[in-house]
Amino acid sequence: MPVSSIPLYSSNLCISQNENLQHALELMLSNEVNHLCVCGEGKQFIGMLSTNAIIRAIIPASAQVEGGLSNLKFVGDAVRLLTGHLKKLTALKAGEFAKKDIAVLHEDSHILEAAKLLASTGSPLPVVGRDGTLIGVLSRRALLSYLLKQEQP
Amino acid sequence: MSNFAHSSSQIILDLSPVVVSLVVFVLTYFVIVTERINRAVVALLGAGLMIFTGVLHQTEAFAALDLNTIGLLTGMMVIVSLTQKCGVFQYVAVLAAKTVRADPWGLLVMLAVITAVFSALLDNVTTVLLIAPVALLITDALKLNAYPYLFTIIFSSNIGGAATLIGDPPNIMIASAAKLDFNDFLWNMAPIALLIFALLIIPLYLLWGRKLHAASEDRAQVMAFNEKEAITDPLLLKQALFVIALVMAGFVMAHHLGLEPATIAMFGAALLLLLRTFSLSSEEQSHFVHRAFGEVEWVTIFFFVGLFVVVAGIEKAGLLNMLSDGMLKLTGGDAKVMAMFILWVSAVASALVDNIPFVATMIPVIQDIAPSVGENNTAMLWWSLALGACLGGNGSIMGASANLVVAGFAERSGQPIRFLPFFFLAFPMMLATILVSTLYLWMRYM
Repeated sequence: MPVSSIPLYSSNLCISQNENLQHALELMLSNEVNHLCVCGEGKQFIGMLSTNAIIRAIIPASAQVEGGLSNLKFVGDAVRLLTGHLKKLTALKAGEFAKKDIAVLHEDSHILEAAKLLASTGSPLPVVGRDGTLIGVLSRRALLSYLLKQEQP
Repeated sequence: MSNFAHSSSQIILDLSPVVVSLVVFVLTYFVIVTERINRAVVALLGAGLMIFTGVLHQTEAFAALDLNTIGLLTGMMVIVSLTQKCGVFQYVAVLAAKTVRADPWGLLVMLAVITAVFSALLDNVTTVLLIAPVALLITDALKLNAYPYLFTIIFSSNIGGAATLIGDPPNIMIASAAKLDFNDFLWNMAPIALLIFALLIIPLYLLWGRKLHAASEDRAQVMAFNEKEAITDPLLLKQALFVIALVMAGFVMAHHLGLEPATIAMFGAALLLLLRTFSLSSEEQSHFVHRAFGEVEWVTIFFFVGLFVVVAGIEKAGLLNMLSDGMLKLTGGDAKVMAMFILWVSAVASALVDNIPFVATMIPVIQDIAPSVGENNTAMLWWSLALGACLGGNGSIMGASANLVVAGFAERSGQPIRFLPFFFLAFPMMLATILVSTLYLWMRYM
Protein backbone atom coordinates (compact mmCIF):
# COMPACT_ATOMS: atom_id res chain seq x y z
CA MET A 1 0.00 0.00 0.00
CA PRO A 2 1.55 3.38 -0.93
CA VAL A 3 1.65 6.29 1.50
CA SER A 4 -0.60 8.32 -0.79
CA SER A 5 -3.50 6.14 0.39
CA ILE A 6 -3.14 7.60 3.90
CA PRO A 7 -4.90 10.88 4.63
CA LEU A 8 -1.97 13.31 4.65
CA TYR A 9 -1.62 16.68 6.29
CA SER A 10 -2.67 19.22 3.70
CA SER A 11 -0.05 20.43 1.26
CA ASN A 12 -1.62 23.85 1.66
CA LEU A 13 0.19 24.20 4.96
CA CYS A 14 3.47 25.20 3.41
CA ILE A 15 5.26 28.48 2.95
CA SER A 16 7.15 30.10 0.10
CA GLN A 17 10.93 30.12 0.38
CA ASN A 18 10.87 33.90 0.02
CA GLU A 19 8.63 34.52 3.01
CA ASN A 20 10.41 35.56 6.16
CA LEU A 21 10.79 33.30 9.14
CA GLN A 22 8.61 35.60 11.23
CA HIS A 23 5.62 34.75 9.04
CA ALA A 24 6.50 31.05 9.07
CA LEU A 25 6.70 30.99 12.85
CA GLU A 26 3.36 32.76 13.18
CA LEU A 27 1.83 30.22 10.79
CA MET A 28 3.18 27.30 12.84
CA LEU A 29 1.94 28.83 16.09
CA SER A 30 -1.55 29.64 14.77
CA ASN A 31 -1.92 26.15 13.29
CA GLU A 32 -0.42 24.53 16.39
CA VAL A 33 2.13 22.56 14.38
CA ASN A 34 5.84 22.14 15.04
CA HIS A 35 6.87 21.65 11.41
CA LEU A 36 6.26 23.53 8.21
CA CYS A 37 7.25 22.69 4.64
CA VAL A 38 9.02 25.31 2.55
CA CYS A 39 8.25 25.32 -1.16
CA GLY A 40 9.53 27.04 -4.26
CA GLU A 41 7.61 27.86 -7.40
CA GLY A 42 4.90 25.36 -8.37
CA LYS A 43 4.96 23.89 -4.85
CA GLN A 44 8.39 22.31 -5.41
CA PHE A 45 9.48 20.96 -2.04
CA ILE A 46 12.62 22.73 -0.74
CA GLY A 47 12.93 21.92 2.94
CA MET A 48 11.35 21.86 6.35
CA LEU A 49 11.18 24.35 9.22
CA SER A 50 10.73 23.27 12.80
CA THR A 51 10.13 25.04 16.08
CA ASN A 52 12.87 22.89 17.57
CA ALA A 53 15.43 24.17 15.06
CA ILE A 54 14.37 27.74 15.80
CA ILE A 55 14.79 27.24 19.55
CA ARG A 56 18.19 25.63 18.98
CA ALA A 57 19.28 28.59 16.88
CA ILE A 58 18.42 31.18 19.51
CA ILE A 59 20.44 29.52 22.28
CA PRO A 60 23.86 31.26 22.51
CA ALA A 61 26.44 29.50 20.32
CA SER A 62 28.86 29.53 23.26
CA ALA A 63 26.59 27.06 25.04
CA GLN A 64 25.95 24.85 22.03
CA VAL A 65 29.39 24.27 20.57
CA GLU A 66 31.48 21.28 21.55
CA GLY A 67 33.40 22.16 24.72
CA GLY A 68 31.16 25.18 25.30
CA LEU A 69 29.46 26.32 28.48
CA SER A 70 27.58 23.50 30.17
CA ASN A 71 26.37 25.55 33.11
CA LEU A 72 24.32 28.61 32.16
CA LYS A 73 22.66 29.23 35.53
CA PHE A 74 24.75 32.35 36.08
CA VAL A 75 23.26 34.00 32.99
CA GLY A 76 19.76 34.08 34.50
CA ASP A 77 16.70 34.00 32.23
CA ALA A 78 18.46 36.04 29.50
CA VAL A 79 15.15 36.98 27.86
CA ARG A 80 16.78 39.95 26.16
CA LEU A 81 19.52 37.73 24.75
CA LEU A 82 17.04 35.16 23.44
CA THR A 83 14.63 37.70 22.00
CA GLY A 84 17.57 39.47 20.34
CA HIS A 85 18.58 36.24 18.65
CA LEU A 86 14.97 35.46 17.68
CA LYS A 87 14.52 38.91 16.16
CA LYS A 88 17.67 38.49 14.09
CA LEU A 89 16.57 35.02 13.04
CA THR A 90 13.03 35.91 12.04
CA ALA A 91 14.36 38.42 9.53
CA LEU A 92 15.83 35.52 7.53
CA LYS A 93 14.01 34.05 4.54
CA ALA A 94 12.27 30.73 5.20
CA GLY A 95 14.32 29.14 2.39
CA GLU A 96 17.59 30.21 4.06
CA PHE A 97 16.74 28.61 7.39
CA ALA A 98 14.86 25.49 6.22
CA LYS A 99 16.57 22.16 6.72
CA LYS A 100 17.10 20.75 3.27
CA ASP A 101 18.86 17.44 3.78
CA ILE A 102 15.88 15.59 5.19
CA ALA A 103 14.25 12.28 4.39
CA VAL A 104 11.43 12.59 1.85
CA LEU A 105 8.73 10.06 0.93
CA HIS A 106 7.45 9.62 -2.57
CA GLU A 107 3.78 9.11 -3.30
CA ASP A 108 4.44 5.48 -4.21
CA SER A 109 6.65 4.75 -1.16
CA HIS A 110 5.44 1.79 0.86
CA ILE A 111 3.89 2.26 4.26
CA LEU A 112 6.52 0.07 5.94
CA GLU A 113 9.26 2.30 4.53
CA ALA A 114 7.34 5.34 5.79
CA ALA A 115 6.99 3.79 9.27
CA LYS A 116 10.71 3.03 9.37
CA LEU A 117 11.64 6.57 8.36
CA LEU A 118 9.19 8.12 10.81
CA ALA A 119 10.68 6.02 13.59
CA SER A 120 14.23 7.13 12.78
CA THR A 121 13.61 10.84 12.16
CA GLY A 122 12.31 13.32 14.67
CA SER A 123 9.83 15.00 12.39
CA PRO A 124 6.89 14.32 10.09
CA LEU A 125 7.83 13.45 6.52
CA PRO A 126 7.00 15.38 3.39
CA VAL A 127 5.44 13.32 0.61
CA VAL A 128 6.35 14.48 -2.89
CA GLY A 129 5.26 13.55 -6.38
CA ARG A 130 7.55 12.35 -9.17
CA ASP A 131 8.21 15.93 -10.21
CA GLY A 132 9.16 16.97 -6.66
CA THR A 133 5.95 18.86 -5.90
CA LEU A 134 4.66 18.62 -2.36
CA ILE A 135 1.62 16.38 -2.02
CA GLY A 136 1.25 16.46 1.73
CA VAL A 137 2.91 15.66 5.03
CA LEU A 138 2.79 12.31 6.80
CA SER A 139 2.81 12.50 10.58
CA ARG A 140 3.18 9.71 13.13
CA ARG A 141 -0.33 10.23 14.29
CA ALA A 142 -1.71 10.08 10.74
CA LEU A 143 0.07 6.79 10.12
CA LEU A 144 -0.99 5.23 13.44
CA SER A 145 -4.55 6.42 13.01
CA TYR A 146 -4.63 4.85 9.55
CA LEU A 147 -3.19 1.54 10.79
CA LEU A 148 -5.57 1.45 13.74
CA LYS A 149 -8.49 1.77 11.40
CA GLN A 150 -7.11 -1.03 9.23
CA GLU A 151 -7.10 -3.39 12.22
CA GLN A 152 -10.73 -2.69 13.05
CA PRO A 153 -13.21 -5.29 11.66
CA MET B 1 69.06 15.17 27.32
CA SER B 2 71.37 12.21 27.60
CA ASN B 3 74.97 11.75 26.68
CA PHE B 4 75.47 9.10 24.04
CA ALA B 5 79.23 8.73 24.11
CA HIS B 6 79.09 4.95 24.60
CA SER B 7 76.77 3.45 22.08
CA SER B 8 76.74 -0.07 20.82
CA SER B 9 73.84 -0.19 18.32
CA GLN B 10 74.27 -1.45 14.73
CA ILE B 11 72.99 0.85 11.96
CA ILE B 12 70.77 -0.78 9.36
CA LEU B 13 72.60 -1.83 6.14
CA ASP B 14 75.74 -0.19 7.56
CA LEU B 15 74.46 3.19 6.44
CA SER B 16 75.76 6.42 7.93
CA PRO B 17 73.94 7.14 11.21
CA VAL B 18 73.86 10.81 10.23
CA VAL B 19 71.99 10.04 7.01
CA VAL B 20 69.58 7.55 8.62
CA SER B 21 68.77 9.77 11.59
CA LEU B 22 68.38 12.81 9.32
CA VAL B 23 65.93 10.94 7.08
CA VAL B 24 63.88 9.74 10.08
CA PHE B 25 63.98 13.19 11.68
CA VAL B 26 62.98 15.11 8.53
CA LEU B 27 60.28 12.59 7.68
CA THR B 28 58.86 12.74 11.22
CA TYR B 29 58.85 16.54 11.40
CA PHE B 30 57.47 16.84 7.86
CA VAL B 31 54.50 14.58 8.64
CA ILE B 32 53.92 16.43 11.94
CA VAL B 33 53.80 19.75 10.07
CA THR B 34 51.37 18.46 7.44
CA GLU B 35 48.99 17.41 10.26
CA ARG B 36 47.73 14.53 8.12
CA ILE B 37 48.41 11.99 10.85
CA ASN B 38 48.03 12.51 14.59
CA ARG B 39 51.24 14.09 15.86
CA ALA B 40 51.63 11.65 18.76
CA VAL B 41 51.40 8.70 16.39
CA VAL B 42 53.97 10.26 14.05
CA ALA B 43 56.40 11.05 16.89
CA LEU B 44 56.12 7.52 18.30
CA LEU B 45 56.64 5.99 14.86
CA GLY B 46 59.67 8.23 14.37
CA ALA B 47 60.98 7.12 17.75
CA GLY B 48 60.47 3.48 16.79
CA LEU B 49 62.32 4.02 13.51
CA MET B 50 65.26 5.56 15.36
CA ILE B 51 65.49 2.34 17.37
CA PHE B 52 64.71 -0.18 14.59
CA THR B 53 67.24 1.38 12.21
CA GLY B 54 69.88 1.07 14.91
CA VAL B 55 70.50 4.79 15.35
CA LEU B 56 69.58 4.41 19.01
CA HIS B 57 69.65 1.43 21.33
CA GLN B 58 66.38 1.11 23.18
CA THR B 59 68.07 1.67 26.54
CA GLU B 60 69.33 4.97 25.14
CA ALA B 61 65.80 5.75 23.97
CA PHE B 62 64.42 5.11 27.47
CA ALA B 63 67.19 7.25 28.98
CA ALA B 64 66.27 10.09 26.61
CA LEU B 65 62.76 10.42 28.08
CA ASP B 66 62.63 13.55 30.20
CA LEU B 67 60.46 12.33 33.06
CA ASN B 68 60.53 15.76 34.67
CA THR B 69 58.76 17.33 31.69
CA ILE B 70 56.36 14.41 31.33
CA GLY B 71 55.62 14.27 35.06
CA LEU B 72 55.07 18.01 35.35
CA LEU B 73 52.73 18.10 32.36
CA THR B 74 50.75 15.07 33.54
CA GLY B 75 50.46 16.28 37.14
CA MET B 76 49.29 19.74 36.11
CA MET B 77 46.83 18.27 33.61
CA VAL B 78 45.17 16.22 36.37
CA ILE B 79 44.99 19.25 38.68
CA VAL B 80 43.57 21.50 35.96
CA SER B 81 41.06 18.94 34.66
CA LEU B 82 39.63 18.57 38.16
CA THR B 83 39.73 22.30 38.95
CA GLN B 84 37.95 23.41 35.79
CA LYS B 85 34.83 21.48 36.78
CA CYS B 86 34.07 23.85 39.67
CA GLY B 87 33.38 26.78 37.33
CA VAL B 88 36.04 29.08 38.76
CA PHE B 89 37.09 30.33 35.31
CA GLN B 90 33.54 31.37 34.45
CA TYR B 91 33.19 32.96 37.88
CA VAL B 92 36.30 35.08 37.41
CA ALA B 93 35.39 36.06 33.83
CA VAL B 94 31.87 37.18 34.79
CA LEU B 95 33.17 38.98 37.88
CA ALA B 96 35.75 40.74 35.70
CA ALA B 97 33.05 41.83 33.23
CA LYS B 98 30.91 43.18 36.07
CA THR B 99 33.87 44.93 37.69
CA VAL B 100 34.17 47.14 34.59
CA ARG B 101 30.36 47.52 34.49
CA ALA B 102 30.29 45.54 31.21
CA ASP B 103 32.08 48.35 29.39
CA PRO B 104 33.31 46.80 26.09
CA TRP B 105 36.86 48.17 26.27
CA GLY B 106 37.14 47.43 29.99
CA LEU B 107 35.91 43.91 29.28
CA LEU B 108 38.60 43.43 26.65
CA VAL B 109 41.31 44.53 29.07
CA MET B 110 39.93 42.40 31.89
CA LEU B 111 39.71 39.31 29.68
CA ALA B 112 43.30 39.95 28.62
CA VAL B 113 44.42 40.19 32.26
CA ILE B 114 42.65 37.07 33.49
CA THR B 115 43.73 35.05 30.45
CA ALA B 116 47.36 36.10 30.98
CA VAL B 117 47.26 35.32 34.71
CA PHE B 118 45.57 31.94 34.29
CA SER B 119 47.93 31.08 31.42
CA ALA B 120 50.92 31.87 33.59
CA LEU B 121 49.68 29.64 36.41
CA LEU B 122 48.01 26.88 34.43
CA ASP B 123 48.40 25.76 30.85
CA ASN B 124 47.38 27.93 27.92
CA VAL B 125 45.08 25.45 26.25
CA THR B 126 42.94 24.88 29.35
CA THR B 127 42.79 28.60 30.00
CA VAL B 128 41.50 29.53 26.56
CA LEU B 129 39.26 26.47 26.51
CA LEU B 130 37.43 27.90 29.53
CA ILE B 131 37.71 31.64 28.91
CA ALA B 132 36.78 31.72 25.20
CA PRO B 133 33.20 30.39 25.64
CA VAL B 134 32.48 32.94 28.40
CA ALA B 135 33.93 35.70 26.22
CA LEU B 136 31.68 34.57 23.36
CA LEU B 137 28.64 34.59 25.65
CA ILE B 138 29.34 38.05 27.07
CA THR B 139 30.09 39.60 23.66
CA ASP B 140 26.91 37.95 22.39
CA ALA B 141 24.90 39.55 25.20
CA LEU B 142 26.57 42.92 24.50
CA LYS B 143 25.95 42.52 20.73
CA LEU B 144 29.67 42.96 20.05
CA ASN B 145 31.89 41.42 17.41
CA ALA B 146 33.76 38.63 19.25
CA TYR B 147 36.87 38.84 17.05
CA PRO B 148 38.79 41.51 19.03
CA TYR B 149 38.16 39.56 22.22
CA LEU B 150 39.25 36.23 20.79
CA PHE B 151 42.34 37.85 19.26
CA THR B 152 43.17 39.36 22.65
CA ILE B 153 42.67 36.03 24.41
CA ILE B 154 45.13 34.36 22.01
CA PHE B 155 47.82 37.00 22.50
CA SER B 156 47.33 37.18 26.25
CA SER B 157 47.54 33.42 26.69
CA ASN B 158 50.85 33.17 24.83
CA ILE B 159 52.33 36.18 26.62
CA GLY B 160 51.08 34.99 30.02
CA GLY B 161 52.35 31.49 29.31
CA ALA B 162 55.83 32.87 28.62
CA ALA B 163 56.03 34.34 32.12
CA THR B 164 56.44 31.18 34.19
CA LEU B 165 58.06 27.77 34.13
CA ILE B 166 54.67 26.05 34.00
CA GLY B 167 52.96 28.50 31.62
CA ASP B 168 53.96 26.94 28.32
CA PRO B 169 55.37 23.49 27.40
CA PRO B 170 58.56 25.00 25.84
CA ASN B 171 59.35 26.59 29.21
CA ILE B 172 58.83 23.26 30.97
CA MET B 173 61.23 21.56 28.55
CA ILE B 174 63.82 24.32 28.82
CA ALA B 175 63.62 24.40 32.62
CA SER B 176 64.09 20.68 32.86
CA ALA B 177 67.01 20.53 30.44
CA ALA B 178 68.78 23.65 31.73
CA LYS B 179 68.06 22.97 35.42
CA LEU B 180 66.28 26.30 35.76
CA ASP B 181 63.71 26.59 38.55
CA PHE B 182 60.38 28.35 38.94
CA ASN B 183 62.01 31.42 40.48
CA ASP B 184 64.52 31.71 37.62
CA PHE B 185 61.61 32.02 35.23
CA LEU B 186 59.78 34.47 37.51
CA TRP B 187 62.90 36.61 37.78
CA ASN B 188 63.88 36.52 34.11
CA MET B 189 60.73 35.90 32.08
CA ALA B 190 57.92 37.45 34.13
CA PRO B 191 59.21 41.07 33.88
CA ILE B 192 59.43 41.02 30.10
CA ALA B 193 56.11 39.19 29.81
CA LEU B 194 54.53 41.87 32.01
CA LEU B 195 56.07 44.67 29.95
CA ILE B 196 54.95 43.15 26.65
CA PHE B 197 51.49 42.55 28.05
CA ALA B 198 51.23 46.20 29.12
CA LEU B 199 52.43 47.34 25.69
CA LEU B 200 49.92 45.04 23.99
CA ILE B 201 47.10 47.19 25.33
CA ILE B 202 48.21 50.10 23.08
CA PRO B 203 47.66 48.42 19.68
CA LEU B 204 44.51 46.78 20.99
CA TYR B 205 43.13 50.18 21.91
CA LEU B 206 44.15 51.72 18.59
CA LEU B 207 42.71 48.82 16.64
CA TRP B 208 39.45 48.31 18.46
CA GLY B 209 39.26 50.13 21.79
CA ARG B 210 37.74 53.33 20.44
CA LYS B 211 35.16 51.55 18.32
CA LEU B 212 33.67 49.22 20.92
CA HIS B 213 30.24 50.31 22.10
CA ALA B 214 27.37 48.50 23.78
CA ALA B 215 23.82 49.65 24.52
CA SER B 216 23.12 50.35 28.16
CA GLU B 217 20.29 47.77 28.14
CA ASP B 218 22.72 45.10 26.93
CA ARG B 219 25.26 46.11 29.55
CA ALA B 220 22.53 45.89 32.18
CA GLN B 221 21.87 42.35 31.03
CA VAL B 222 25.49 41.36 31.67
CA MET B 223 25.44 43.19 35.00
CA ALA B 224 22.50 40.92 35.92
CA PHE B 225 24.65 37.81 35.50
CA ASN B 226 25.15 36.10 38.84
CA GLU B 227 28.77 34.94 38.97
CA LYS B 228 28.13 32.92 42.11
CA GLU B 229 25.88 30.62 40.09
CA ALA B 230 28.90 29.79 37.92
CA ILE B 231 30.43 27.87 40.82
CA THR B 232 29.03 24.40 40.43
CA ASP B 233 30.93 22.76 43.29
CA PRO B 234 32.04 25.07 46.15
CA LEU B 235 33.83 22.22 47.97
CA LEU B 236 35.86 21.37 44.88
CA LEU B 237 36.69 25.05 44.49
CA LYS B 238 38.11 25.19 48.03
CA GLN B 239 40.03 21.95 47.61
CA ALA B 240 41.42 22.96 44.22
CA LEU B 241 42.47 26.43 45.41
CA PHE B 242 44.17 24.86 48.43
CA VAL B 243 46.10 22.37 46.29
CA ILE B 244 47.02 24.96 43.63
CA ALA B 245 48.32 27.33 46.34
CA LEU B 246 50.33 24.46 47.81
CA VAL B 247 51.73 23.51 44.39
CA MET B 248 52.67 27.12 43.60
CA ALA B 249 54.41 27.45 46.97
CA GLY B 250 56.17 24.16 46.20
CA PHE B 251 57.37 25.49 42.84
CA VAL B 252 58.73 28.63 44.48
CA MET B 253 60.57 26.62 47.14
CA ALA B 254 61.49 23.66 44.94
CA HIS B 255 65.12 24.70 44.61
CA HIS B 256 65.62 24.96 48.39
CA LEU B 257 63.80 21.69 48.93
CA GLY B 258 65.87 19.95 46.28
CA LEU B 259 62.70 18.89 44.47
CA GLU B 260 61.90 18.80 40.78
CA PRO B 261 58.68 20.52 39.56
CA ALA B 262 57.35 17.15 38.37
CA THR B 263 57.49 15.78 41.92
CA ILE B 264 55.50 18.75 43.19
CA ALA B 265 52.90 18.60 40.39
CA MET B 266 52.44 14.85 40.78
CA PHE B 267 52.08 15.17 44.55
CA GLY B 268 49.55 17.99 44.07
CA ALA B 269 47.54 15.87 41.63
CA ALA B 270 47.53 12.92 44.04
CA LEU B 271 46.52 15.16 46.95
CA LEU B 272 43.61 16.68 45.03
CA LEU B 273 42.48 13.21 43.98
CA LEU B 274 42.64 12.09 47.61
CA LEU B 275 40.60 15.08 48.78
CA ARG B 276 38.00 14.44 46.07
CA THR B 277 37.66 10.72 46.67
CA PHE B 278 38.24 10.39 50.41
CA SER B 279 34.56 10.02 51.29
CA LEU B 280 33.69 7.75 48.36
CA SER B 281 33.36 3.98 48.35
CA SER B 282 36.28 2.06 46.87
CA GLU B 283 34.28 1.39 43.70
CA GLU B 284 33.36 5.07 43.32
CA GLN B 285 36.97 6.05 44.04
CA SER B 286 38.21 3.74 41.36
CA HIS B 287 35.69 5.12 38.86
CA PHE B 288 36.54 8.74 39.75
CA VAL B 289 40.31 8.27 39.53
CA HIS B 290 39.97 6.36 36.28
CA ARG B 291 37.94 9.24 34.80
CA ALA B 292 40.36 11.87 36.12
CA PHE B 293 43.35 10.12 34.56
CA GLY B 294 41.34 9.70 31.38
CA GLU B 295 41.19 13.47 31.04
CA VAL B 296 44.96 13.82 30.79
CA GLU B 297 45.89 14.93 27.27
CA TRP B 298 47.65 11.72 26.40
CA VAL B 299 48.21 12.84 22.82
CA THR B 300 50.46 15.61 24.10
CA ILE B 301 52.25 13.32 26.55
CA PHE B 302 52.96 10.64 23.94
CA PHE B 303 53.97 13.35 21.48
CA PHE B 304 56.64 14.41 23.96
CA VAL B 305 57.72 10.80 24.51
CA GLY B 306 58.21 10.27 20.78
CA LEU B 307 59.94 13.61 20.27
CA PHE B 308 62.46 13.01 23.03
CA VAL B 309 63.54 9.79 21.34
CA VAL B 310 63.63 11.27 17.82
CA VAL B 311 65.77 14.20 19.02
CA ALA B 312 67.99 11.79 20.97
CA GLY B 313 68.54 9.92 17.70
CA ILE B 314 69.86 12.94 15.79
CA GLU B 315 71.81 14.02 18.85
CA LYS B 316 73.59 10.67 19.07
CA ALA B 317 74.25 10.57 15.33
CA GLY B 318 76.07 13.89 15.66
CA LEU B 319 73.60 15.99 13.64
CA LEU B 320 72.93 18.44 16.44
CA ASN B 321 76.65 18.73 17.01
CA MET B 322 77.02 19.76 13.40
CA LEU B 323 74.17 22.24 13.83
CA SER B 324 75.73 23.80 16.91
CA ASP B 325 79.12 24.00 15.17
CA GLY B 326 77.40 25.71 12.26
CA MET B 327 75.74 28.17 14.63
CA LEU B 328 79.05 28.92 16.31
CA LYS B 329 80.66 29.59 12.92
CA LEU B 330 77.72 31.66 11.66
CA THR B 331 77.74 33.88 14.74
CA GLY B 332 81.50 33.90 15.14
CA GLY B 333 81.05 32.38 18.59
CA ASP B 334 79.57 35.68 19.82
CA ALA B 335 76.96 34.83 22.45
CA LYS B 336 75.07 38.09 21.91
CA VAL B 337 74.66 37.47 18.18
CA MET B 338 73.76 33.89 18.95
CA ALA B 339 71.05 34.99 21.41
CA MET B 340 69.54 37.31 18.82
CA PHE B 341 69.73 34.57 16.21
CA ILE B 342 67.98 32.07 18.49
CA LEU B 343 65.33 34.60 19.54
CA TRP B 344 64.33 35.67 16.03
CA VAL B 345 64.64 32.27 14.35
CA SER B 346 62.65 30.54 17.10
CA ALA B 347 59.98 33.30 16.96
CA VAL B 348 59.47 32.98 13.20
CA ALA B 349 59.67 29.17 13.31
CA SER B 350 57.20 28.99 16.20
CA ALA B 351 54.76 31.21 14.34
CA LEU B 352 54.66 28.77 11.46
CA VAL B 353 55.15 25.34 13.02
CA ASP B 354 54.58 23.71 16.39
CA ASN B 355 57.06 25.20 18.86
CA ILE B 356 57.43 21.97 20.86
CA PRO B 357 59.44 20.00 18.23
CA PHE B 358 61.47 23.13 17.51
CA VAL B 359 62.39 23.62 21.17
CA ALA B 360 63.06 19.90 21.59
CA THR B 361 65.62 20.20 18.78
CA MET B 362 67.16 23.44 19.98
CA ILE B 363 67.72 22.30 23.59
CA PRO B 364 70.59 19.89 22.82
CA VAL B 365 72.04 22.45 20.39
CA ILE B 366 72.25 25.07 23.15
CA GLN B 367 73.58 22.45 25.57
CA ASP B 368 76.30 21.71 23.03
CA ILE B 369 77.15 25.38 22.60
CA ALA B 370 77.12 26.10 26.36
CA PRO B 371 80.78 25.25 27.10
CA SER B 372 81.90 27.68 24.36
CA VAL B 373 79.97 30.68 25.66
CA GLY B 374 80.11 30.38 29.46
CA GLU B 375 77.42 29.94 32.12
CA ASN B 376 75.99 33.49 32.11
CA ASN B 377 75.74 33.64 28.36
CA THR B 378 74.13 30.19 28.27
CA ALA B 379 71.34 31.48 30.50
CA MET B 380 70.81 34.31 28.01
CA LEU B 381 70.49 31.73 25.23
CA TRP B 382 67.85 29.83 27.20
CA TRP B 383 65.80 33.01 27.76
CA SER B 384 66.12 33.83 24.05
CA LEU B 385 64.78 30.41 23.15
CA ALA B 386 61.94 30.62 25.68
CA LEU B 387 60.89 34.11 24.55
CA GLY B 388 61.11 33.27 20.86
CA ALA B 389 59.21 30.00 21.18
CA CYS B 390 56.44 31.30 23.45
CA LEU B 391 55.87 34.72 21.87
CA GLY B 392 56.36 33.39 18.34
CA GLY B 393 53.20 31.37 18.85
CA ASN B 394 51.24 34.62 18.41
CA GLY B 395 52.45 35.01 14.83
CA SER B 396 49.78 32.90 13.18
CA ILE B 397 46.63 31.02 14.03
CA MET B 398 48.66 27.79 13.77
CA GLY B 399 51.44 29.07 16.02
CA ALA B 400 50.19 27.51 19.25
CA SER B 401 47.69 24.89 20.37
CA ALA B 402 45.79 27.56 22.32
CA ASN B 403 45.33 29.58 19.11
CA LEU B 404 43.79 26.58 17.39
CA VAL B 405 41.44 25.97 20.33
CA VAL B 406 40.16 29.57 20.14
CA ALA B 407 39.88 29.34 16.34
CA GLY B 408 37.91 26.11 16.75
CA PHE B 409 35.43 27.80 19.09
CA ALA B 410 35.12 30.78 16.79
CA GLU B 411 34.48 28.53 13.80
CA ARG B 412 31.89 26.41 15.59
CA SER B 413 30.05 29.48 16.82
CA GLY B 414 29.82 30.97 13.34
CA GLN B 415 32.52 33.64 13.71
CA PRO B 416 35.55 32.02 12.06
CA ILE B 417 39.07 33.39 12.45
CA ARG B 418 40.65 33.20 8.99
CA PHE B 419 44.35 32.40 8.60
CA LEU B 420 45.43 35.38 6.47
CA PRO B 421 43.53 38.25 8.15
CA PHE B 422 44.81 36.98 11.51
CA PHE B 423 48.33 36.55 10.15
CA PHE B 424 48.53 40.05 8.64
CA LEU B 425 47.61 41.57 11.99
CA ALA B 426 49.20 39.11 14.41
CA PHE B 427 52.55 38.54 12.70
CA PRO B 428 53.69 42.20 12.80
CA MET B 429 52.45 42.46 16.38
CA MET B 430 54.39 39.31 17.24
CA LEU B 431 57.52 40.78 15.61
CA ALA B 432 57.03 43.91 17.73
CA THR B 433 56.97 41.76 20.88
CA ILE B 434 60.21 40.11 19.71
CA LEU B 435 61.73 43.54 19.15
CA VAL B 436 60.84 44.47 22.73
CA SER B 437 62.35 41.15 23.85
CA THR B 438 65.51 41.97 21.91
CA LEU B 439 65.84 45.26 23.79
CA TYR B 440 65.17 43.51 27.07
CA LEU B 441 67.82 40.86 26.43
CA TRP B 442 70.25 43.54 25.29
CA MET B 443 69.74 45.74 28.33
CA ARG B 444 69.62 42.98 30.88
CA TYR B 445 72.16 40.40 29.78
CA MET B 446 74.55 41.98 27.26
